[in-house]
Amino acid sequence: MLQAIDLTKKYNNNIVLNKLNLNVEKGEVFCLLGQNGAGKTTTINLLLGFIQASSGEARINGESISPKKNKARKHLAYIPEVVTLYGNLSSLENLDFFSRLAGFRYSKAELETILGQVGLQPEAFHKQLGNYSKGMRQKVGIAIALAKKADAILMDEPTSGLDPKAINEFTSLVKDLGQQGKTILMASHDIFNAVEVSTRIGIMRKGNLIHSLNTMDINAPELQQLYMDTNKS
Amino acid sequence: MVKNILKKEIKTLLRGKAPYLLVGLLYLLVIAAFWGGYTSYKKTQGDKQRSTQKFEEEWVSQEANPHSAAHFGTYLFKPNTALELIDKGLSDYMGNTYRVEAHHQYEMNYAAARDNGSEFRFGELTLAFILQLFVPLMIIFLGFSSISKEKENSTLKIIWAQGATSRQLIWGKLWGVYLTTLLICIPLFLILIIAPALIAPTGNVPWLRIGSMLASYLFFYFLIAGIVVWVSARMSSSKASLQVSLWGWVILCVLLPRLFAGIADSAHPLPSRNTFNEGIDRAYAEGLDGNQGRKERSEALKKETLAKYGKDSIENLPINFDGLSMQSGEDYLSKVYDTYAKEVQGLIEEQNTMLGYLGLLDPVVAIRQLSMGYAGTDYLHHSHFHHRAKQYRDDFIRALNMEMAYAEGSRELKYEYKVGNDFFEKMEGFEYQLPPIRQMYSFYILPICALLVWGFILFATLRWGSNLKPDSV
Repeated sequence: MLQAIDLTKKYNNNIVLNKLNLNVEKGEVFCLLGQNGAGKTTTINLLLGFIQASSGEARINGESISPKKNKARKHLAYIPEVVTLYGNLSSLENLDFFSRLAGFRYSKAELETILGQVGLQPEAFHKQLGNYSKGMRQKVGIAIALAKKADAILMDEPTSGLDPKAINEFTSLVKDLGQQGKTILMASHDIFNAVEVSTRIGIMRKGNLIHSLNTMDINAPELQQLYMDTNKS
Repeated sequence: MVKNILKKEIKTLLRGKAPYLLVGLLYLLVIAAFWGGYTSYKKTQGDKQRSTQKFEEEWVSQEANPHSAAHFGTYLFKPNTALELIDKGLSDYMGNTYRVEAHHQYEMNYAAARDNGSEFRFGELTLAFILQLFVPLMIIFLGFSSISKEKENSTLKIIWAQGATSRQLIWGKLWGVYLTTLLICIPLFLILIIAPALIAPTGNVPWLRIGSMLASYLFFYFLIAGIVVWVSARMSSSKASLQVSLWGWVILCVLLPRLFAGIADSAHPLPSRNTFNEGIDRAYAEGLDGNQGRKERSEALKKETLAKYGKDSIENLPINFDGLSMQSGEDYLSKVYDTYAKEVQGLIEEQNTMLGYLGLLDPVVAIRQLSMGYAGTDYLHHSHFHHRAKQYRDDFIRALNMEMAYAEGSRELKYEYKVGNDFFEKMEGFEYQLPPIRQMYSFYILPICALLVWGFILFATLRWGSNLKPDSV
């Protein structure tokens, strides 16, 4: 379980995240919505232990996460907005490298299986990533997260810039991950995709989590209205 | 972890275009520098050998009065060292020929820079130039984006999320950039090892000097790679990293060495050759302390000699007094010269010491000093040769003066007395050996320390200052 307990981040006197309390359970896909500067990326950075919280605590499976405690990161994986990886390495080589960093050594067949699981075609395995579309690279990013066997995957605007087909494939992959019992926290601007992919949605504004809703309780137009109203007030 | 990062770094670097462009350029420069250096080496070596042989032949084949022979004199040539092929250091500027002649104490003359043309005006392409300027530049191009690009591509965050620390990443990148540099530079290093070994006299290959030079350069490149990777880690973009690294290169490799040389020269200015020679002439004529001039010294010698032989006039001496008198003059001239030369040597050593301390601010200054030291083309070796040549010159002139003073027939014949081939052949030839390398180490203790201090600072920075700030990512 991924937790934020009164999690706060200040830069000088500027509060960018204010006492965030959040629980994302195993198998949940939680989507954070908000405008730029709402605190979504800061939340992800704090939950990954990339930055030190000013106060409060981030936890994964009860273990505290902070830049000084590298150990908790073994439970976490991250997919950035733009998955560039290494353009002159193939997807197999990229996956192998990042898996080794996480302490896993897979055989070529195992790596190919993981890449297959995220929907990459076998003929693409040996092509350099520089020739991949953004959607394909995003799949390699998910493969890296899968290969790490992380309990929680944090994604920062992962559908940004993807074409509709790629978004559809990505949505389906994320849903599958949730069903496999992964805890997923995703920051996004995409209200319609959020409704489609997530089990819960949070709306953030100026460092505060204003709303936390079950996706079952709201449809896309209602969410859009709520989002607009939240950012208007 | 570090091993995985370095392996990936080498793989990605070698798949890029930059290493191949750099390899092409490097090999082109190496070939040009090696060819230029080798032809220049062979030419000067050949010239020296031919001239030495000619002067030796002329010397032994003459039939002359010993003092006339002392005026005819000879020339001594500073032998080319095997590592001169790699680093010519100061040898083109400090002269390579020593004139042996009675009544004159000469400096080294015939510097190549004075006799040659455009290559000296525009800067000669040497292997040392490549080792000291081009390879660091190459390291910059290989490493400037090593970490900044990870930031730009968001791979840094994935790396962190996978469990690698900033320190592991920086060390992995450092080793990756360093080992790729070494891989690219293998031909250059092979030349550094093989070429001096091939041209050195059989059984006299300066392995210790070659090994020390190579080890120093390898350490120097590690420092440069460390600095470049560290800059890349600190900068938010590859563009900024490249700009800072290139400015660093300009400052450390081009500006500071010249500035420091200027500072050392201004702090401890050397007298001009004219002032130096005038000082010697004055001290010789008036005495070192100004109290015993040439005439007084001559009178004193006369008195002493007459007393020794119990005679009342020079004509009654059983020897040729002119020989003794000339040797006495030589002894005094040598003493005067040593006194003045010691002052100049002291100033040059002060300059070197100052440069050694300034090397703490710039590792390029330190490696330059060490490199020419290993090559035997620095001031220390120049001074060592000059000292040996002067010793030989003093013994050489002494032998001729003693022949003048004590040889049978010289007293009566005076300047009509002549010696021939059998006498000149017996005179010892000039043999020169480089000083032992330990002398070089003790002379260059400051540059060695400077490199070690830079190494320590680098290790300390990477150990305690390697935490990348994710806030800026």
